Amino acid sequence: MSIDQKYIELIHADIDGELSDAQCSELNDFLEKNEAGRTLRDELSSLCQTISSSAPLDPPPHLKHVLLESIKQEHARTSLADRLMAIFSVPTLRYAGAFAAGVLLTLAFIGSDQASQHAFDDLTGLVGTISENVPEPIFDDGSMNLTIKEIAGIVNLSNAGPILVLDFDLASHDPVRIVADFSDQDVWFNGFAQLESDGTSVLAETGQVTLYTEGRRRFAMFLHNTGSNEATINLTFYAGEALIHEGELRFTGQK
Amino acid sequence: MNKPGDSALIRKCKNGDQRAFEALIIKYQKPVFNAAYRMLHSSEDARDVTQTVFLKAFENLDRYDPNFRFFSWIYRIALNESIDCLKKQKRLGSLDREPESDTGNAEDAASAEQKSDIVQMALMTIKQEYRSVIVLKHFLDCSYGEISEILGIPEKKVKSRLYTGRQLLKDALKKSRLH
Repeated sequence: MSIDQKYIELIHADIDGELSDAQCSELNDFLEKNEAGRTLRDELSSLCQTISSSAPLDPPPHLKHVLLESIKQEHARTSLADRLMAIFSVPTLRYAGAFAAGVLLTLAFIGSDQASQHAFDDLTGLVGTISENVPEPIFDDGSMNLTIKEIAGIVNLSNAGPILVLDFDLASHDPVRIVADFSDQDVWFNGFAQLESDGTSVLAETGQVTLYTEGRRRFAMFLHNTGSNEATINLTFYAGEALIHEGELRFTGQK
Repeated sequence: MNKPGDSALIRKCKNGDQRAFEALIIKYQKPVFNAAYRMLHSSEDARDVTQTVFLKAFENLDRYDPNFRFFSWIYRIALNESIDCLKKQKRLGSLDREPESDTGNAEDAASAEQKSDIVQMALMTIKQEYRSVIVLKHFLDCSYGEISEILGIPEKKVKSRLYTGRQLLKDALKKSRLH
């Protein structure tokens, strides 16, 4: 037996607790006389109980920390931008700034050695000035060049007092997962910032940080290095589940 | 009407008080994360969306209209970001990827967690416009009026989407023999 649309709506609204007293008594009168209506109400009620019985999930425990760090970085970035805007709102300074930028740009062109004879097939446009074109990854203590087909660019490790800064300047066509491992050391995750993009995400756990990146990205990860001791950061790069690269960056003590 | 304390926190945020924003994060990170998870069925994506939601809220706080409830505003950002994420996944052709957990046969689905997974799998089979309404109603406990405000659609449409969404969900659950 079909049920009038009006009563179907009243049944839904009853389950959702959105009925007025008058509507409620109207629905009860209808249900008393209509078995199909009662069946529908029971079915819907059971369905809604099933849906709502799913307990809410707890967000990852580090999420609040990551959110706060992102906000702090954003706050610092916007404050700096506001200050610069204020400075360059003075016409003389604005023109001086533009002139200085022009000079720097010219010097950069004159001094650059970026013309690649062996540019990658598919990453040249993305990589731009961030990568030297060398056939194999080069390692030294504080820097890692990547020129593999899945990802290209550079990762630098530097320090500012007790803070270690990992500066990533990378380009990839597809998503790449980077795992920075510093377990068994007196080092912990202290923050994350990204420049000119918002596409990188970060998952910080004890002794390990996982970064997800795709496209052209510039971002930095900050680690607190208690006592400014020697520290080694192992970096592992994955495309999907496939390991595409691994290496380490070493901080050799307070510089 | 804002939830208790929200208006004062927002006022403080606008005056540059980061602790006030921290309080908003503590208050809303769970519902925002849950909304994103129910829309995306991926904790990883839900975490990214939550991060983007709060950053966008922080960046655009000056544009927040106090005539609207703060939670409506932030839930709206959460749903829009989730939908953007779904579109991106579709573009990348990753819709065929494995869901976060496999539920197996519903006949032996004894635990609440398994039931929850089956509901989530069923939820992922319905269109996002219906899913949004179901998520807001059943997982964030929003009223018809609040859903209407969040989605920017008339209440009549909210009801119609909710009823259709429930029917679709019921069919999907029948297939999984949970309902």
